[in-house]
Amino acid sequence: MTDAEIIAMADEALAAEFELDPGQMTPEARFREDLDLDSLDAVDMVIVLEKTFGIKIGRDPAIMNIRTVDDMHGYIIAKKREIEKA
Amino acid sequence: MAEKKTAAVIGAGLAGLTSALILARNGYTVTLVEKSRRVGLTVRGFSREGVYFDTGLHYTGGLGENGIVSRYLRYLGFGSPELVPFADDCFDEIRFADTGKTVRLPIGYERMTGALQAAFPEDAEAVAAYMRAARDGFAKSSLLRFFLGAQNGPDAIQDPGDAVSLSAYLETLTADPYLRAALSMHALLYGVSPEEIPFTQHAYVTASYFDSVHNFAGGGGALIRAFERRLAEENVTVITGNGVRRILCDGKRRVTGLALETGETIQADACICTTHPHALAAMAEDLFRPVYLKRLRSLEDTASAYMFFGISETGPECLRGKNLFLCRGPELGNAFGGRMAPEDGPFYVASSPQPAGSAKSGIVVVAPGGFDQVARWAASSRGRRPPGYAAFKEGVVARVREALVRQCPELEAVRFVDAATPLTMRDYLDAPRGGLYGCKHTVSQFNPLPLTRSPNLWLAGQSVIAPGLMGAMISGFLACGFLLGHSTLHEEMAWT
Repeated sequence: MTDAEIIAMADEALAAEFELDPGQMTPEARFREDLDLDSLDAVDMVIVLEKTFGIKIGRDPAIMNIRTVDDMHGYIIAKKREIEKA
Repeated sequence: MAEKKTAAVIGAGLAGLTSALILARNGYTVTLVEKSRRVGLTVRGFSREGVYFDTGLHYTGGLGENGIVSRYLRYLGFGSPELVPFADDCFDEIRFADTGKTVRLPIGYERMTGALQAAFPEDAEAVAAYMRAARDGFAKSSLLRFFLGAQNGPDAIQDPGDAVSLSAYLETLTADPYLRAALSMHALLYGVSPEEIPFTQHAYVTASYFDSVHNFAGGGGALIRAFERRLAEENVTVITGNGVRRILCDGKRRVTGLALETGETIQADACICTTHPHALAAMAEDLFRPVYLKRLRSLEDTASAYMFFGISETGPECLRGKNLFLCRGPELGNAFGGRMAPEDGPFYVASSPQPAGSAKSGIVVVAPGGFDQVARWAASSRGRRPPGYAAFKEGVVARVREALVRQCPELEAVRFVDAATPLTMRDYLDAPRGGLYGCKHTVSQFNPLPLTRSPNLWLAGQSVIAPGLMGAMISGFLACGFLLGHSTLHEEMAWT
């Protein structure tokens, strides 16, 4: 899976599940300020991403550093690459 | 004078009863809404032939002079309720039928350590390490941190130590399956397998018995009656036999009130919901995003069980001041999958406290079970089961009785008068598949937090923080703390 495919899949899944306008999901969009998703939504986001990509995120403290859509893309891409290597 | 603020509490189990009293004490006009005809149905118990049977509460820690439950009850205006202490030298006795091995657990950290070391001399170091970890896990648990006021707010309920399961931890300590089973036995008290329960959650249950073990005089029924008195004194409006159809809200996800099943509406400035999360999802479709509702609906439940109620004319010696855990062997894991036949055990056996002067004893036996075993009668309701169900129940009672007496001949004279199945549990507990302790707390499941995306709706109950009387009460204090201020609540508690 290419980076672009991962990004498209992640955006589509989150937009659908959180009822977001796909146009809002620019890389620089901030989850809290621009998309109205706060730390209480983080768990739901983790579950959606786990399901979409078949990966285990669980209680990974690194997710607390995700502030923007771009951060989220970077996190998923790194996770996928980690799995491919293993 | 400003008009008093209004609060609605949904569900009148221990978490709801606790929340309603806290809010009433803090100046709210409170309405408590309960779908069943009576409040406190899980814990209330019942009587047959003048003998009392506990249903949801059999024993608890935290009722020593400065225990968590004692302090909560004092704050709620209960004074010092009359208690029945369990025996110091053995409050839980574990018997393994295959080897005849018996492990007796006394009250107290040092004594319990000593007793376990005497029963497993080869593993004395493992026992010491386990006991230290359980004590430290309990002391450091987010629940207790909240109770002590050391750290409040949402961060206090994200415990980083929740990632290691009980069985994974025990594997690092000992290869003896009987020691592992003995140290895991209390898993039967929260309905999650040792493979799934985080060690910290297990420690919270097991270490709560290090200081004290009690039941209330009069059992769970007496506790619920005391709650009813206090609700009346605090002028809480209690609506029973009427469920919530919808939680009403404005465009900013702020709760404005409740629409009841009978069509009435209740106005509310704040709301605490203590129902099973699946029930919350059905009431809150206007309030939350689909993704959150989906998560609530997909939460997995704790194990269900069968419960058997018998009368002993004299009260068997083997249950005096203690509980029995009867196991065929050291395999506990299967007890939680819901596929085990109830007669295979393990059995938890307890004696319910009787009215003064009664020589008889109410024996309660809990055996593993799953909803699939009774699913063919799922469409029937309480009091209106088809005849085939009664025959099924009779068969289960006979088989369990035989297995029980084989493993514990002292119970030969017990006459069984009633039984409950996972279907009974579904209907009394309002749990979709009869899970006894709400949604399970596991190393991988994300249970709902007390905070929600609504600014004036908070969640409490066994599914949120932890199971049992203590878990339910703590969740009520935690949820109300978000409304009233946690430090205010702690300061008030310090003075009572």
